[in-house]
Order: sequence, then structure tokens, then C-alpha cells
Amino acid sequence: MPAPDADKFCIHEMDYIWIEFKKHVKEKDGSLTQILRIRKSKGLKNRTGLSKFYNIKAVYNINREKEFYRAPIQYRNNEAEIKITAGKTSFFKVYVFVITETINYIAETSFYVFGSSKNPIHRDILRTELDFLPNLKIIYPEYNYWPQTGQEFKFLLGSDKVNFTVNDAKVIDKGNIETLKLSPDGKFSYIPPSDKLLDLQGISAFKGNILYFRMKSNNKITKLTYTLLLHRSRFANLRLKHGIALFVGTIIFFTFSVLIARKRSPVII
Amino acid sequence: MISKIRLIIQNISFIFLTYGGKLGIHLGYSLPCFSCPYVGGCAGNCYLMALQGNYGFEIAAADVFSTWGERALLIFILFLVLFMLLSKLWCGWICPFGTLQDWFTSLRRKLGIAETEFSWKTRDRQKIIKYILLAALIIIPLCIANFGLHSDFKMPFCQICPAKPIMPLFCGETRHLSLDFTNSITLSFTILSMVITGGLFVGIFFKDRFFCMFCPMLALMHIFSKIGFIHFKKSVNTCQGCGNCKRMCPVDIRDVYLEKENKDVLTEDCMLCLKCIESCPGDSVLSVKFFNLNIFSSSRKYLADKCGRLHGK
Repeated sequence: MPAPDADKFCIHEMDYIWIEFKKHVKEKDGSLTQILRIRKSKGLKNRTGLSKFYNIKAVYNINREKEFYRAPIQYRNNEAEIKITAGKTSFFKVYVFVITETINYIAETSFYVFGSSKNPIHRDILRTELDFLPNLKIIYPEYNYWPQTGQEFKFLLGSDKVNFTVNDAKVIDKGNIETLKLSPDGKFSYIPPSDKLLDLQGISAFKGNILYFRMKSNNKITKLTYTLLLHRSRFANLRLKHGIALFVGTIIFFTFSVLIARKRSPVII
Repeated sequence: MISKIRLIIQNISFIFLTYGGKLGIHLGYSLPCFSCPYVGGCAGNCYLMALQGNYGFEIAAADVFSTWGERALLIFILFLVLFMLLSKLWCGWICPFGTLQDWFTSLRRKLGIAETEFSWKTRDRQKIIKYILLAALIIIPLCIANFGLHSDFKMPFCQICPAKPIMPLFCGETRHLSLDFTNSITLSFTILSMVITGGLFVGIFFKDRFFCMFCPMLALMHIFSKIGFIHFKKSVNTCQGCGNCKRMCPVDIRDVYLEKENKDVLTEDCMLCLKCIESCPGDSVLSVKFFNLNIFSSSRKYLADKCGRLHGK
């Protein structure tokens, strides 16, 4: 399900690219394809030379292995899409990037795809090094049935090959911008708030909040976004006391009903 | 003797199916009994969950002739094979939720409380409920997959099944007793679940195998009962019509007593607990067979021995 209003993620003052989750498609052979859309903020659209997608590249890796694969970008109706297919259950990390003389725009996301096919899937392996990609490590909460609102996520930014300093870290949630807190251990932490719309949309609904990092290394700036795929909370709206009260109340009601009925006749109904 | 063997098997099955997953055992998604998937560490899943979900009727029409459809078919065939092998023995001897109900019956008997009786008319009327539940758990997922019904209706039977809040308690999980205020659909389902569970809690205390009267798994099994390898036979010519079978039946089946032709008397509510055979005084009047191989049949001597043991002689 796409974000309800993708334009709400476009903040005028900030220029960045991000990945938006579209639907997934069940293929006949049991494999599953996740469609991702590449988006640009309004700030970036206005920059000369970046109004089109022609210089954008996309790569991905599978199950945290070192090899990267090219993700072909498909252009349709002025939109850029990439399709990631999984034959079996796999964890994908996708990077989309635009390299300019002064700024690297990078969009990143990660997700599971639950394919169920024995057919091999052709992947185009990448031979070149991607030194400029920062290493964004996400520390998920202990209970991680799926990433959900109300849980604390931690983010650690690092790179083996490039020294950089993070001078801006924000989270964009449907037009609302919040500055990420930096913990003493060097990790950014974020607790996505409950989303009423997500609660109403059903158990399979999801949304993507955008984490935005601005980093500087030597004379180059990197603007990294990470699309955090979020489902509604499985626990936030559970009320155990209410449930137990209703359960016990029902037991008392039915017990008295049965006892009264049994007093009247041995065959109660 | 048979009752004791059954009790031992029931208790072993309960422990195995409830905690077996913690030892890395998982028997798949096709079990013809209420081995609740909401129990963290269960050793296999009740087939009704697969039937309602992505391995059953929640497959969109366009995906039926794909690998997704093949997998659903495979799980269904496995269910059929398991059912054909043991038939209703799954209910009377293996089902963990059935065993739990029998524990409640034992408790009631120890407390000296008499069982509550329903009239035959009521029993006959109740029979339709399990088919309505079975129809609902097929139609609702079809509507989710093909007609855009809200996804919070997913797993409709699991959401109201009393096994869902009760069985996870054996693993210390109380979450499923909660009311879910996420939206009006989740709240309605959890309220309904608590009311049904509370009602059934009382029901299974006062009436033997109360839940089995409404169990959609029994309805599903009954559809395929003709292809099972286990047959329950009655020899009409030698039956003296004492009515013990009717009196001893925990689910009030009278069809065995009323049967006037030599045919299979495995009825839709029967769970093959074999109490009727144990209490039958006629030699080989009632018998359970695996194909033509006799597993257990009634005998005057068996009943006399049992009565003797009961009276300490």
C-alpha cells in the first residue's frame, strides 16, 4: 500500500531522494516481487540537472551478504520504479544513489520478501566497489515480528572507508519533521508514534517513515535517507484488564444462568 | 483399559503438541485437531488456520493455478491423508483442546456435580452451527482475497476460537485475553472472543465436550468421513437395544442406538472415544475397524471385568 500522500514527504527546504514501498506481486512460479518507487523531494526537483532520473542508479544485496546486484530502473509516466524479486524468503537491502560533484544523494531501505519458488532468479552482479555508501546499522527491538509503531529503533552510522561527521539527523513522518536524538553510545534512537490511519487500514497495511541524515566528509556532502517500513503496533492498543474483566463477567453470568436453569429442570433447554 | 490408554495418549499428545515446538518439532500446518498456532512453541498447526489463510481460501482467484495454489492443495492433501489414517481419533484421542475439556469433565465429576443435559431437539438444532462456522471461515477469506474485504477480518474463526485465548495460557501467554482497541473491527472480534470463551468455559464445565458440538473441524471431517480408513460398525442383528451406547456418549449421540441397518455408525459428532463400545454388553455388536482389521469391539466379558473393577471385585 503506498503512503497516503507521498507529497507530504517533500519538504521544500531539504533536497533528498527516498524509496517508497509500492505493492508486492505474487508471481505464478511462487516467487514474489516487491515494487519500489524512487521519489525526490521538491527541493531536489528544483535543482538544475536533477529534474530527471537519468543519472540515478540502484543496487541491492541479499541476506546481508557482501555481493551487490544491479536493480534495473524502469521509467513509466515520469516515475522511476525498481522491482526486487525473491524466489525464497530473503532479506533485501536496497540502495538508490545519485552522485554529483558536491553532493551524494543516497536512499536506502531494507525489507523481507517471502518467496516460495524453486526457479533460479537471474541477478546482475556488480563488480565495482561502492565505497561511498555509508554503513547504516539498524538495531531492531527485541520483539520484531515486524517493525511497528511504538517500538524503539536505534541507528548507528559508520563507514570503514570514509570519515564523516553527521551534522543533521531528522525523521519525516507525513510532513512532520522531528530531530533524531543522539544517545551517549553514539546511536540515534527513534520511537515512531502511533498512527491512527495505519490502525484503521487493517493488519496488512504499512507506511514508510523517512530517516534523513546529512553527513560531511572532506569536501563532499552525503544526504542519506532510510525508509523505515512500519506496521501498526501489535500491542499498544491491547487492554488485558478489560479483556479479563469481560471474560470473568461472562463466566459469572453464564454460571448463574446455568445454575438457575438446572434448578428448574434437569434438562435445561 | 481402553479409557486408561486413551487418557495416557491424550495427556502425552497435549504435552507434545503444546510444548513440542520448543524441542524443534513442527508437524506442519495440516493437523486435523486444535493444536493452536497461537501457542508459542506448539508442535504443529490446526488445519483450520491454513484453510482460512494464505494456504487456503485467502488465495486470490488469479493465484489459484500458481505455486501458491499448489502449496494450498498440498497442505489440504496432507490434511486429508492425516484424517484418513486416524479419522475421528484425532478428536477423541489427540486434540489438545478436547483433552482440556475432558480435564474439566473430570474436575466436575470429582466435585460431584451432575452433567447438564440438553434436549434432543436442542442437540439437533445445534448441529447446524458448526457448518455455519465452517462456511464463514471459507467465505470471509475469499472476500478478503477477491473482493477487498478489510484485512482485519483475516482468520475470522481463529479470532473468535476459544482455544486462542485459553491454550496460550499453558505457555504463560496472557496477551490473547486482551481487548484490542486498535479499531472497531478488532474491538468487536475481541469482545466476541471473550464472550464466547467465557460462555464456553462454563459450558465445558457443565457439559462433556461442549465445544465439540460447535467445532467446524468436525464439520470439515464429516464432509470427508466416507474416505477414512477407520470404520465404526454396528451389528444390528445381535444388538439387544439396552441403550448403554446412548447413555455413555459424552456428546449425546443417539444414532448408534437408533441404527437399524448394518452400516457405518460414525456420525458427524462422534469423536471415537469408544465409551459406547466399552459399555456395550453384546459381543461384537459395536466395533472399530481399520479397513477390515478389528481394533476394538464390544464384549460382555470386557464390560463385566470393567464393572468388577469399578466395584472392587
